[in-house]
Amino acid sequence: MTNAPRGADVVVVGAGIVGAACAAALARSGLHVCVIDRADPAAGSSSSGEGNLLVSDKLPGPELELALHSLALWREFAQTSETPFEFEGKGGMVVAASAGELTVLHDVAAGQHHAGVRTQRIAAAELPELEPYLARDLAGGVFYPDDCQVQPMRAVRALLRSAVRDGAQVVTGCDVVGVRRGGDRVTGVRTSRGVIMVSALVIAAGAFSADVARLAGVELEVVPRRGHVLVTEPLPPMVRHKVYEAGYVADVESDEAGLLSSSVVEGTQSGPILLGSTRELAGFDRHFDVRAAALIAQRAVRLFPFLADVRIIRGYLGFRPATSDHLPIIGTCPAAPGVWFATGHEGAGVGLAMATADLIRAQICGAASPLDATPFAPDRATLTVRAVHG
Amino acid sequence: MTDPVVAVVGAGPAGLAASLAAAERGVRVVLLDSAAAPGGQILRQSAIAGHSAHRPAILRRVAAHPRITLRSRTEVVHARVSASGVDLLVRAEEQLRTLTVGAVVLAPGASELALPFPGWDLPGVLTPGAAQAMLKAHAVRAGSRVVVAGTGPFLWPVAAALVTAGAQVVALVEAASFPTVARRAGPLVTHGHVVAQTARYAAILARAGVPVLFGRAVVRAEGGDRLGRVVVGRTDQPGSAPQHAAIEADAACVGWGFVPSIELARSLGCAERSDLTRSYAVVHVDEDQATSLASVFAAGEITGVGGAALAAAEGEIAGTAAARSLGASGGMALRRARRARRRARRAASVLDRAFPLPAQWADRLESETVMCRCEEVTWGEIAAVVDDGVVTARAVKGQVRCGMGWCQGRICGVAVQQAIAARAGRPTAEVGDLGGRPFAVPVRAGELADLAEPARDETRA
Amino acid sequence: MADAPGRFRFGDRTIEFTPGQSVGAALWKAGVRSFRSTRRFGRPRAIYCGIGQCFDCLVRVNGAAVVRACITDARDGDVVTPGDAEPGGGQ
Repeated sequence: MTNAPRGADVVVVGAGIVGAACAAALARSGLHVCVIDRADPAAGSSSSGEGNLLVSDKLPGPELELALHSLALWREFAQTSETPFEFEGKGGMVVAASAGELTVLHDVAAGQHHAGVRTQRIAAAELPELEPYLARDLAGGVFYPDDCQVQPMRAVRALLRSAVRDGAQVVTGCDVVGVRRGGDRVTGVRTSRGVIMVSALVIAAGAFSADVARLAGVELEVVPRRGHVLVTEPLPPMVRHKVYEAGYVADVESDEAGLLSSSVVEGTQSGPILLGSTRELAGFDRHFDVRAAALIAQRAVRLFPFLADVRIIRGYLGFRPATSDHLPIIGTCPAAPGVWFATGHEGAGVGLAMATADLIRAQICGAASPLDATPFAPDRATLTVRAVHG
Repeated sequence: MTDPVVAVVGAGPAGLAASLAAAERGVRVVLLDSAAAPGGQILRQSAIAGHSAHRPAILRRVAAHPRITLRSRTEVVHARVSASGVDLLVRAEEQLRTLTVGAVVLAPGASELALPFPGWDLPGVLTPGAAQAMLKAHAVRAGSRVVVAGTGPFLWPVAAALVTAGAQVVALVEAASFPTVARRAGPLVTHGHVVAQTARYAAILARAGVPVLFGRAVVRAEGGDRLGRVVVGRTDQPGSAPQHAAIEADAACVGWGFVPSIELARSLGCAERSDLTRSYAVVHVDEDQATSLASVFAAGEITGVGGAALAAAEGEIAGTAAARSLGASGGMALRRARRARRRARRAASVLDRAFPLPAQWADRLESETVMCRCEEVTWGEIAAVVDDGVVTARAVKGQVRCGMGWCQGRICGVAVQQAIAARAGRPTAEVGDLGGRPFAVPVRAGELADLAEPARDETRA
Repeated sequence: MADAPGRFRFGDRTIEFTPGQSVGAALWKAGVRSFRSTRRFGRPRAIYCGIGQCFDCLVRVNGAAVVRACITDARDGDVVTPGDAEPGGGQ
């Protein structure tokens, strides 16, 4: 077991995709970084998703800009990383079941196109060329060539290896217990493995960031939005792109607490097809919900009839770190001097991790920010954050 | 509940005993079993039409009991405790239904513990259980020149059955040394049943001239597209120069004991504990075979591997307790069953110690040795990430996919955990297991989709 | 009910079985030691655990989705093919 150092320039709490990306970026900038996690790297939501890097599900606005920047950084890292992580620039296809849905989809795509996303309208008759096994009664679709996929656990490892090569330390089995302060400013983090004095503390604990923030004296609103995924038997390539139904974007933006489901189907390099997705506010309930699985299966079979006879060999669930305004929390604020937040990415953590890390790096190093980070500020009007320490 | 029902999962010795016990207390029982016919592994009956071998009494009693409904070829995919009892997601004839019962007894048994070695994925290398199933159910011999190897009492009935069926068993290769077995199994001399059985198997093997090698293990299997021969080496002198002997064989039945099938218990959320001598998880139960969850009881191998007599005793107690949890009257003294359980547990723990897993079995692994058969993950790939600091089984799984294939880690799980522990120099408890995730058996997406339609629930057995 | 042997095809072979036997047992008895080739290394697999837990013995019966030969009843007239992964999952 690695011991925690006595001090570091930055401690990153959370060795998931966002924490690992922050660690890599900060270490590359020459800072002494220590990443801590109460469990193993990627043990949280990073191993419960699908590894999506999407622009297709984002409406024009700050999150889409973040996604475009992040995508460029991911492409670069995929080429330079010593550790491969199944990066696939496969593209995504959103399909509409009705003329009405298609109209809405076209409108959304036009707006995205204007904001810099590559889009391509696909008529109903052309769908089979792109996806031979897709249902033949759909109204049409839009293809997004820029959507990509990675294997998220390997991606986390690749980022951490990069960080370690630049001098970072990774300490697992290390819980945050509290913080040390100089005045109001956090100057150290108290952990189950000792105190680490820091110049900056980055909280990238995903769905658990609210708990960690509280220990650092900040009340932050990040709630778990649960999702289920089904995994099929290994198959030869049959689904060429990510394919999902047009209701997906509405679900992402929804504040509905009850069970929502819209279909996402994608193949993987290793063979199984992943079927998603569901969204609901169910706390941290880890009991697999058959009802969610049934909905996922139903909607997946509707899109790809051949799936009816394909076996599901496994299911899993994870907790997306959600915020009330559906934007991530990236940055620091007066209520938390010395603390930077890199969390609240809901289901887009993998895709947005690199740009998040780039913003954090710029802020902590005092460099020019690659893009406007104010929409993600912890103390923005649409979010509640306050100090709770005495 | 006006019509209390106990569901029993698994129709091996534990499940059969549990079903009878609950039914005798006046409760209806639904006995769910995935096989074509009840009996589990040890009481496996012939599948051949017209082969009417002697059916054990317990099978006849269960078949005849008016309150027991046997559902064969029925799998339990998932289970969840609910306000009304236990919801079981049950699969039969490629259809899913929800079955809600007041209490459940989990008795799904175990799978065989595999310890990989170079060439173990050659056709012709199989488990002793496979040889037994092929013989008992299908009247097929595993091979004509068969090596039976590994460790544990199970090798003996399999070797004896093969001999009786006309196969040439060219060797029984037991990893434990004879002094170890003799010394540690000594206390079993008071278990008349065990002594008689051992003597019977030994006599069969002796009459057939089967050499029994102690302190030896199959260290490699060789052949082109199928097994041609095995190489046997010593286990009792790990430091000395290897002395290997090659034995021509067309079948090698290699087994190292059993691993409890705890997938359903895990998805229910039952508390587990770690088996003391092997490194796998077992379901924790109290003296009445109750798990940590009200309405859920467990019996047989999943509470600790211990054989048929122990399973039957536990089953009787579990079934009775389950019935009482639904309001059935009668006491829980069950003196005979508790005494039988005590004795059987003692025998099981003696046998566990007498037949340990060879400590350095992982030293035999080569870089190309397949560890995960389903995903063909090699030892070299696993060792590389372990050496790089990935030191829990689940994290290793996330990197190299061992345990992510069809069998979801049932075959390779224990071996991968132990091999990681040895490589990383960490206790197996810290390495942890590969983790189980729903579903307990593969399910067609179409079957799940049908569940989303309304009126798919069936609450009455 | 006659106990006359049944027959199914496997590749270019005709495999005899006793009614009640599994496809896997019948193939094994006939000396078949390759029910499929593995996806990654193209290696032969047949029977390993024999009781439906290891998924080594995958075969296709009459072109349908792969099944475990060791727990699938042999039926007269069936056409059994290797359980290599194929597009479509079945059909």
